[in-house]
Amino acid sequence: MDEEVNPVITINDLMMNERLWTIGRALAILIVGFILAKILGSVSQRVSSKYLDAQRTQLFRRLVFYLVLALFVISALNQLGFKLSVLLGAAGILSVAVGFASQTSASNVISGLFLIGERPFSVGDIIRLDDTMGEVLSIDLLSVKLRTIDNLYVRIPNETLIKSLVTTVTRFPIRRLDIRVGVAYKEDLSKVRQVLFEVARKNALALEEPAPELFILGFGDSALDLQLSVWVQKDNFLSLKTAVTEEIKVAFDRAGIEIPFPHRSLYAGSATAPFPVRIVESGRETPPGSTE
Amino acid sequence: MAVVWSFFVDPRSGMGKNVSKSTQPPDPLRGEASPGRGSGPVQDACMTMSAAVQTVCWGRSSLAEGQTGKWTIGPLTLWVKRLTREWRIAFERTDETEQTLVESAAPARAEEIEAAEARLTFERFLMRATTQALHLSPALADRSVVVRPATPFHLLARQETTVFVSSPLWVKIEVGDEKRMLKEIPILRPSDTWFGPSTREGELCYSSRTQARMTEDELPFRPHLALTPVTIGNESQAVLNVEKINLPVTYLSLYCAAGWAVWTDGLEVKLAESAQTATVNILPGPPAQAQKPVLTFPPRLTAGRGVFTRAMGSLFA
Repeated sequence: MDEEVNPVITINDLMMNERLWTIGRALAILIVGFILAKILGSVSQRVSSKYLDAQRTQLFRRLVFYLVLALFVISALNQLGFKLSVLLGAAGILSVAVGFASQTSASNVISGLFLIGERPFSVGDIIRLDDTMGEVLSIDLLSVKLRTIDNLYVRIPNETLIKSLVTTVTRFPIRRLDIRVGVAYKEDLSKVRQVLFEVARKNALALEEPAPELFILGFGDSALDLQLSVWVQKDNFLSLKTAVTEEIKVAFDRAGIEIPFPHRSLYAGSATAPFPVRIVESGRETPPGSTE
Repeated sequence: MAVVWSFFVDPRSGMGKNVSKSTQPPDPLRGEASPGRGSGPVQDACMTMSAAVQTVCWGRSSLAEGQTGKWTIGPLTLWVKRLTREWRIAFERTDETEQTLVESAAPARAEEIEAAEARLTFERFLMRATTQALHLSPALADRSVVVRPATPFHLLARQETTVFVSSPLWVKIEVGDEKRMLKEIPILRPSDTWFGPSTREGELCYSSRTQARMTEDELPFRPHLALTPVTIGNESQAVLNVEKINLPVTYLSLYCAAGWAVWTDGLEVKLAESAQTATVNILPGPPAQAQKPVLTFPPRLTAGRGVFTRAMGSLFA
C-alpha cells in the first residue's frame, strides 16, 4: 500500500514545493526591496538635506523610496509569472475605472502637484486657513498636515488648500502687531499717543524701525477706538503681544487714562418728563412697581 | 537728499585696504605683537594686563569656594557665586539707564548676598570642579547696531568730519584659566530694529541712540556703551543727510582705556563722487582718543585683512 501511495504524494509535493519556492522568492524580493528602498530613501534624505529644503528633501526621499519599491514589486510579479506588458495594459484599463471612482483623490493629487510647484509655504512654516492655524508638518500628494498651536494634528486636503485663501504667517522675517484699545472720550489724545509710544519704545522686542504707528479707528459707542501697530520679529510675535497688552494696561493705569466699559446714557429727551427716581435705604424692601 | 548709511562687510573681498591713521600714536599693546585681529596676541595682552584693571572690573578676578562676588556696571548688577562644582549667576537692572556707577566687591557683603539670593533666581552652571579664576570682559553686540543720531545731521559736499557714536555693551562671564564661557549679558538690553530696503529684505539689528558728538571732551562717561569714532568723508557734490549708521560691531575689537572708557576700532566711511556707493574701512587698533588702552578684546567675527564695504544703492533716496 505504502509503495503505491508514495509516488503520488511526491509529485503533489514537488508541484507544491515549486510554487511555494516561487512565492517564497517573490516574497524575498519584496522584503529585500522594501528594506533597500527604506535604506536608499534615508540615504537620499541625508544627502539631499544639505542642498534642498525640508519639503523637497521629504519629497525626494519618497520618490526614491517608491521608485525602488516599484522596481522590486515588478520583478517580484515577474517572478510569479506575470508579464509586465499585460500588467501595464490591465493597469491602463484599471486606471480609467479607478479614476472615475476616485475623482476626489485624483483632484487632490493634481492640487498637490500644483502646491509643490507653486510653493506658497514650506515645511516648518505657520499657515492659517479659516480658523485653523498651525505649523506645516508635511506636504504630501493628497493632503497637507498641520500641527496646531494647541498640539492637534490637522489634515487638510490639497484641493481645499488650492481653492481657499491661505495665509502664510511666517513668510517674511518681520510682522506687524496690531493692538486695538479704546480710551474714554474725555482723554487727551496727545497724552494717550505719548503713553502708547513710550510703551512701544520701552519694550526691547518691539522694533524701533519700522516705527510704531497709532491709528484712530473711529468714534466707538463707548470709547475712542485706537490701534497701536508695532513691528516685531516673527518669532517674538506672541510674546510681544502679551507683553505690550499688559504694559499698555499698566501705563494707562499709571497715567490715569480710562479704558471705558461699554455704557449707555439714558436720556429721556426734552419732550418727556424726567425719570422719577426714588432713593431706597439699604435693607428695606420695596414692592415691585411702587415707584413714586 | 535723505541718505541712510549702511556699512556692509564682505570678508571674502580683498578690495579696499585698511587705512591706518597717520595721527595714531604708537600702540604699546600692538607694538611687539603683530597687529593681527585674531584672538592669539589679543588674549595674551588681556592676560598680562589683567592685574592693572582689577580696580575697574574688567579682567580677571578670584573667588574662593563658597564666595559670592557682586559687580555693578552702570545699570546692571551682577552676582556670581562659586561652589565646589558649580557656578551660579544672577543679575538685575535698575530703571535708571543713565546710571554710571562702576564697582566690584568680591566677596560681597553677607547681608547683600542674603538679600540677593532671596530676591533673584540664580542660574546654575555645573562642571567637574571649579577653579578660582573668573573673567569679566566687555563684548559688543552679536548683531549689527543701527545708530541713530538724536538729531540727524547734514554733511556738506566735499567735507570730512569725525563723529563719536556709541553702541551697547555686553558682559561676558568666563571661568577658569581656559576661559570657559558661562554667559553673556547685555548691560542694557537694546531695542531690536530692522535695517533694510523693505520689510521683506534686510537684517535684524539692535538700535542705539547717540548724540553723535564731535569732540571727545563732550563725551559723557557711560559704562554700558562703547565708543566708535566714525570718520565720514563726503566726496560727492550733494549734501549728505545722515539719519542712521549701521555699525558692523561684530567685526570690531574693543579697547579698555583709562577711566573705564571702552573704545572700538575706528571706522572710515567715504561716499564716492557718484554718491551711489560708499567704502568703509575698519581702522584696526585703538583710536587716538583712547587714553592708554590697557586691555584688548577680539571681535566676534574676523573679517580678514582687507575689508570692502559699500552702502547699498537701494537705500539712497
